[in-house]
Amino acid sequence: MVLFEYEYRDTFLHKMNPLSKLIMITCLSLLATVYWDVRFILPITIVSFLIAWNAKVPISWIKLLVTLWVLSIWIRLSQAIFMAPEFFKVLSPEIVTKTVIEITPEGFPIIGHTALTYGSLYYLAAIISKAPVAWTIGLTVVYTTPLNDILEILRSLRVPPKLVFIVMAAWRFLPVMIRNIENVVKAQRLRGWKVKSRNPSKLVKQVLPFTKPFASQFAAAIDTISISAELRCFGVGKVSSIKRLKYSAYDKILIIILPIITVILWYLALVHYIGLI
Amino acid sequence: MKHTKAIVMSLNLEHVSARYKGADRNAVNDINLKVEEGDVVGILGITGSGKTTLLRVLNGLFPKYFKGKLSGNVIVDGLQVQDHDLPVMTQHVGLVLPDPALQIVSLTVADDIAFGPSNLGLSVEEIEKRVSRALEMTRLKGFENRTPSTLSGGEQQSLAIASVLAMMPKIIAMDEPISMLDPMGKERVLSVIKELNERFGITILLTEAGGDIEYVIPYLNKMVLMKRGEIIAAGTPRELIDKKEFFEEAGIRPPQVTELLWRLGVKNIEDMAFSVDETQRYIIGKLRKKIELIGETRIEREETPKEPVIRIKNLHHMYPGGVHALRGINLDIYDGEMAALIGQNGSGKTTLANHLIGVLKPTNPDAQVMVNGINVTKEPTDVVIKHINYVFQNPDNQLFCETVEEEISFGPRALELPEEEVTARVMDMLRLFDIEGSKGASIFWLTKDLKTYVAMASVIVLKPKILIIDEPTTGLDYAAGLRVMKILRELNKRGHTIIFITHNMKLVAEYASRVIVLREGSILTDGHPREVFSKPGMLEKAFIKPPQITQLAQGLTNCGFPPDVLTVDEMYEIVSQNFDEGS
Repeated sequence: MVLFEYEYRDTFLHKMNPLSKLIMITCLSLLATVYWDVRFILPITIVSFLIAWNAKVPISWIKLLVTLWVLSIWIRLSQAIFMAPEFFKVLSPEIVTKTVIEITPEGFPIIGHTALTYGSLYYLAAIISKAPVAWTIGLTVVYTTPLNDILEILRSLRVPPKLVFIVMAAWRFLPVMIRNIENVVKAQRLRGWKVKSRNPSKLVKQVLPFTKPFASQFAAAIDTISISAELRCFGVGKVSSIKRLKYSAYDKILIIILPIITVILWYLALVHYIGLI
Repeated sequence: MKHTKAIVMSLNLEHVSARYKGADRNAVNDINLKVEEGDVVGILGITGSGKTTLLRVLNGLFPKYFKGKLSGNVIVDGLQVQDHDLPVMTQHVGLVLPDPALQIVSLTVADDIAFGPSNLGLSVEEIEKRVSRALEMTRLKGFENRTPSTLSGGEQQSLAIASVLAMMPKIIAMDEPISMLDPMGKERVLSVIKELNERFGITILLTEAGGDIEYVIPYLNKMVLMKRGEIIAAGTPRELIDKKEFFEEAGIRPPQVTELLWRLGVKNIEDMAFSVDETQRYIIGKLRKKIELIGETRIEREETPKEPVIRIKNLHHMYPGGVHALRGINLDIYDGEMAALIGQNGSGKTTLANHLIGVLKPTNPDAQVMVNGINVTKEPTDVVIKHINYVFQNPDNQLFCETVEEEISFGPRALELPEEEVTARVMDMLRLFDIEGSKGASIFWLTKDLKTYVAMASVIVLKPKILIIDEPTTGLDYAAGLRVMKILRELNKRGHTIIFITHNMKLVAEYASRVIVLREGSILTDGHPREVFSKPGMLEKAFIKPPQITQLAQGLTNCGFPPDVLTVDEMYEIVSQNFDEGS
């Protein structure tokens, strides 16, 4: 199985309507974005993991996700150190600026005084716990939804057919193009090609053996795809939906309830600072 | 009272000429052709004969998409093509292209079939009805939710046909529909075509460059031979069967059995045949007596076996995702052999070849891949290519220079050989391929055959001891293919060991000194072509059929024919000595 590709499984999420899945991912992501209080974020994170578990998302995907998450902690840490006190809406400035560990003293060249503060720690805890939400839910949607269902949603949302076709053709021909690039690289290496200079201007000349054959194949492929689409009346007029998407009772409830809840919670967060720090 | 069925014309072309913008001659010239409803017409001609342009004219793709000038009358399904737009015409005549992989645009089988009808703005119910009908007509029921990339070549081409069928045309034109398929794929697509015609009354036009003529002819009820844009002969296969001069003029090699009958000087048209069964019946009727050739040893064996230049031991390869592509291959290839690697798509041929050039590494630690004394799994590419190299099937994978000469000299220069050596090697290649006159020609404007020669020359110039060539004659007409194979034989005589990957059994029979048959990642059988082709039962497991002439001999074993005849020459020799006087 290719990484990040839909696979059919008999799960609740797989059977769900793609539109309700898209609404679910949007709502959970919006909530994870607005909240900064760990007590509010953690339930969302747990829900997103439970959804992935229910959808039987492969463990290899989760492993990759965890690796990226761990790596991102270091980047988040540097962000946390430089977090401005104005970011915090609920916690008092005294608490958020209170130093836990000093990193560089006053007058340090270029960056000046830096320290890990209580504010930094609050921010770090929030960002670490919210980071996996969008990824987990996003991967779950990819794993449980065929792209053509997503395209069908785009069509029903009146996205221009040409844009839908571009997404579809790009997804369909990406593996073909990757295989072509591999073959071109293989062919040129077998003719003795290798990088002889790392000088950027010389590098451009050196990659010519790859770019030219690939460009000519790419152009030929685009031409064939265009002819094929043209022969099937693409771009002639109004495009109709290929199939009627079915909505179960659960789908209907989710589509109505989730956006309402999200809007209320966003209002409470932005206006009354509930769930912020 | 006797009722006669009225003849309905599907196509009527009168004095049709087409010239592409910027071209100095007509791609099709003064074509007159009538096709009746329900006909299956084969348009035969070599590359550049105008077959594809003729199909493009039928639905208006030329000159509406491919720009140029069209003259004459083109009436398709009662409509004057020039008066109607492409979307109208595509609902009367569908066009299927040669490469199935590139004409499928959607992500599932059902969606691809639905793509055309949805562009017509039809209702969901109508689209579902058309998808279901097309799936049934092309025997793809049950494949609805499959991703196109998981289908075999034959299934992909059937899907391309289904997608065209969903537009409900009465005529389907197919441009070399089986040229890129393996034998099993060819059989599948042709049987679908037969069913479309016989069960659903669809008129079929298909082009063929000659490589698959034996597959195609049994399905035709009309044949058209083309040369340089003109029709040189047209009629039923029976009417054209004895017109040797027209086949020769068109550059098309007939089926092997027909060639044999021509050589035997058969005069009576009723005795001529395109198929093995008919030829068999004719030969049995004309034999003077039972001949006794079975059991004769006809394989010339080397007195002293040579050293293996390739030694593979217990080679496994598992792709990420779990496909076990090679399953414990053990193989020795000897110095000076000209070996053919055959098998269905997905049998492991390319994976095996990629291990020989060190591009892929075995996935089991105890595997051994020794080539000309070096372990290719451990050596860098620039060392490996001094011993073994690979010519890709598609010349466009490697050509990038401005001129032929620059292209051939790229490899030796990359290896930093002295300039005199580079010049000498390039000249040798230009002579070998007989392309000295094209050395300054622009790569961009080369014809397919010249591109193939240049791609081969630009690898052979590196003088590898062993050369692997993937489908050396695909896309070439008979004459160009013959030239390629003669060059390979010449290289073989010069001391190169040659391994060629092919689906063309005639090439294997005529040129290989050894055949290795792969099936599902294992070697099914291995030996001299005579030995391998003598085991049709074994070959069936790999969905391979021996060449037509071998099949003929095998059908005549009761009359004493040896089952290992490989070429028309051999068969002619046997038959002519044992034919009845005056036949």
